[in-house]
Amino acid sequence: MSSRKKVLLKNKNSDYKLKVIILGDSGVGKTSLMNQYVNKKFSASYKATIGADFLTKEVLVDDRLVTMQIWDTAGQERFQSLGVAFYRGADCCVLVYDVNNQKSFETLDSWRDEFLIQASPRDADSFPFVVIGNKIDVDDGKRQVPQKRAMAFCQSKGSLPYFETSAKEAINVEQAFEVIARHALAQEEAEEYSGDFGASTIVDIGADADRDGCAC
Amino acid sequence: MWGGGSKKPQSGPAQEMVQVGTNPIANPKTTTLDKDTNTDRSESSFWRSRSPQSNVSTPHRDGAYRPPADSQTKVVGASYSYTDMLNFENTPSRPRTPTHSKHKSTPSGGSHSPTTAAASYNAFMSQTDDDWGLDLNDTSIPKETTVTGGLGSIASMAGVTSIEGRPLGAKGSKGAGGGYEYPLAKKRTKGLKAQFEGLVRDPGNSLHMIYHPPINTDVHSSAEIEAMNARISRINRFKTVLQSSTVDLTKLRSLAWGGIPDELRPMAWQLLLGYLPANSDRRVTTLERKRKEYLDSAKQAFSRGEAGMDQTIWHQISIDIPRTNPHIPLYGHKTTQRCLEKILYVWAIRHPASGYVQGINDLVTPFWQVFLSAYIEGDVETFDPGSLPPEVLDVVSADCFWCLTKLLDGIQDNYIHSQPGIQRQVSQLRDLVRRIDSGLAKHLNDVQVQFIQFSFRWMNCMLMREFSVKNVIRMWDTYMSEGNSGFSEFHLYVCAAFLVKWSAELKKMDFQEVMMFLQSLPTKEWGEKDIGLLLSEAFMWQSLYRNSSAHLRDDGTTVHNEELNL
Repeated sequence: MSSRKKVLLKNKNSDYKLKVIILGDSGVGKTSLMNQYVNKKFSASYKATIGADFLTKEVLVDDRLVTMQIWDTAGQERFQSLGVAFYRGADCCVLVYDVNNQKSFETLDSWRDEFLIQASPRDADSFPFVVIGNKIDVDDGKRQVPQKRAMAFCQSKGSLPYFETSAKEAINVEQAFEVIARHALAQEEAEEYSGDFGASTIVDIGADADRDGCAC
Repeated sequence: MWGGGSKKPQSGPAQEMVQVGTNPIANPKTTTLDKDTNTDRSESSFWRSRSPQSNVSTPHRDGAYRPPADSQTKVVGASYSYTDMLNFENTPSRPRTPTHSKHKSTPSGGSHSPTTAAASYNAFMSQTDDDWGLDLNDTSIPKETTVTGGLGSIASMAGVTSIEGRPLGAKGSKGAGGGYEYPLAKKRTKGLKAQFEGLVRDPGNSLHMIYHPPINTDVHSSAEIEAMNARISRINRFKTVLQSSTVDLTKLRSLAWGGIPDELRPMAWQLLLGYLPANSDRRVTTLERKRKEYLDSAKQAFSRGEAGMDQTIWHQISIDIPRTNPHIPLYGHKTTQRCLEKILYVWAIRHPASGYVQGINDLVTPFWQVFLSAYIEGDVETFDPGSLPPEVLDVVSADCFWCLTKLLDGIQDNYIHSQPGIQRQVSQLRDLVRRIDSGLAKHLNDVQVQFIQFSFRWMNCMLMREFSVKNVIRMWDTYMSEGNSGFSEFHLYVCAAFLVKWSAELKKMDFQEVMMFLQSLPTKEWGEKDIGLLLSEAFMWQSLYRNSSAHLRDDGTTVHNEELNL
């Protein structure tokens, strides 16, 4: 499946199209993070996301123009069966929790597992995840997840990059997404060099190349 | 039934009496009797079958109150489940609708056979035309009830006295154009209609409260006068149907398909959904009972405070309520939020197979807005319900709860685990678009846009994220007129008509552009005419393709693996 996306994601305007998935419990601020990053706006009144929303942003990563295709998913568990339709071909997965909500931190692990099952990346161990603890603007007394604990978790999962952000006050959002873009790009390139010889993917590549009129 | 005074009940099965014109609260015994007898036919009554935590006890007193003839297997009255109505599903019941000119050449769009309609109507009425409690042949139905169409019906209110002891029509004065003004005096709450107490008891009272501005040839242009007259005659057509002692639901459906006047919508929706009994004599007691049941359920659910509640469900509801229609002031008010979260929570715990699923919060809002509008003057979307008397809020909440329940009962499998209903609808939409616009289907396939990526939300939220609430309300007039399949099947054709509307634009777009476009479609300026056209187009596609393919036939809840591979 990943090879299929690769042909699709390369196009004439930018060097690369990178597919990023944002996951996490309902209400942790996924939509707000995405809109702060893409539109530089914050609104206190987004409707709950149903299925998944889609946004794009073009960025320069080391002089290469890449287009981030960001899928902002719904947090309610009932929608998890949809995952396969949205996760396939992802280059990076962002796990978001609310630092003021213990439970949203505890579910990160299952979000990660669920993603790996449904997206089935070629190499689960090296697939890039980035963890974001959001809503640090809320006053300190309400914080439930200490930074140390979050960092220990990231360490235990293979040194995942970790950011603490405020989508509301635009703290650390840009920095987090820059790292996300780099990791996604690295993943995309790694896939390109390592994966094209899998017998099962050859047919896919041929078919997609025909459709897109884009030689790979 | 207006001013009819109390009706002497017949002996035998007619023990449940309805005392019209007196305060029904004075008859607690009557209500109890009614509740008991009602439970006899509860086998497929969705209230009960879907309500394991219902606090209504259901002793089975066989034979105590059976309707005659074939009622052993049939469910009488509004307690029908949607499956009971399947026979009715293919009955054309909506008016011929104008189809878009570009589709004029298409055969058979919108034509119906009146014969089958009549035949199925009888079959349908025999099953559904009553309330939960009584059979159709009940001899206590008042025969003298007059069916008065038109605005002259003020006369029929002469004997109706408001709680204050003032005849409701007393201050009415005939307007120049045949309209009359209803009393505005003695408002208790800003924006609350003076006659709210009569409305609380029986939504049928709304029929006598329609305000028509007097037509003045000096002030109004001829076009305006024409529009006003058209409105009056449309309202009168509805009134003729709604005032009947037993509302002819087939007629109501056929009228309502093309849109319901705002003033009559609350009552019409409740009838179309089978919440309000078609038989006017049953309304007061039925509403009382259902409202009490809801309020008792709510009380019980919240009795132990948050600690005693299902934390997962409650957490989800309480974070979604502030995110429900945040752009409309009505939903920013605390009173609205408290009422809606209560409705959603009670529904969720009574339906454990699905529980609360995001999107259901959207679906309750048209009911909230429509039912609230019955009691207030002015624009409901900017109204603060905080000043309303608790009894009005209770009644509106209860009506919302039951009507939401009715609606969701028809699309249960949209919200259970893995959402098979939605998966199936998305797959059907894809198949349908392949047939009606193969070029578009091919293009979407070429740019690798999957239907589930954009239409999941269309199904999960009934297009409520694509249209204003006002437009959705208009759409629901038609959906409800489509009978049990409106929200499950007709909706599919609406989605198809909606998608192919943008065919030309979409075919020029790549993956990214398609996704961005479909996610914020340019429908902000859409009004009633656009919605009417969309519904007509949907109707045409349904006429052409319904039952024409095994793909599009509802095959129950089974979802095949290949269908899931969207």
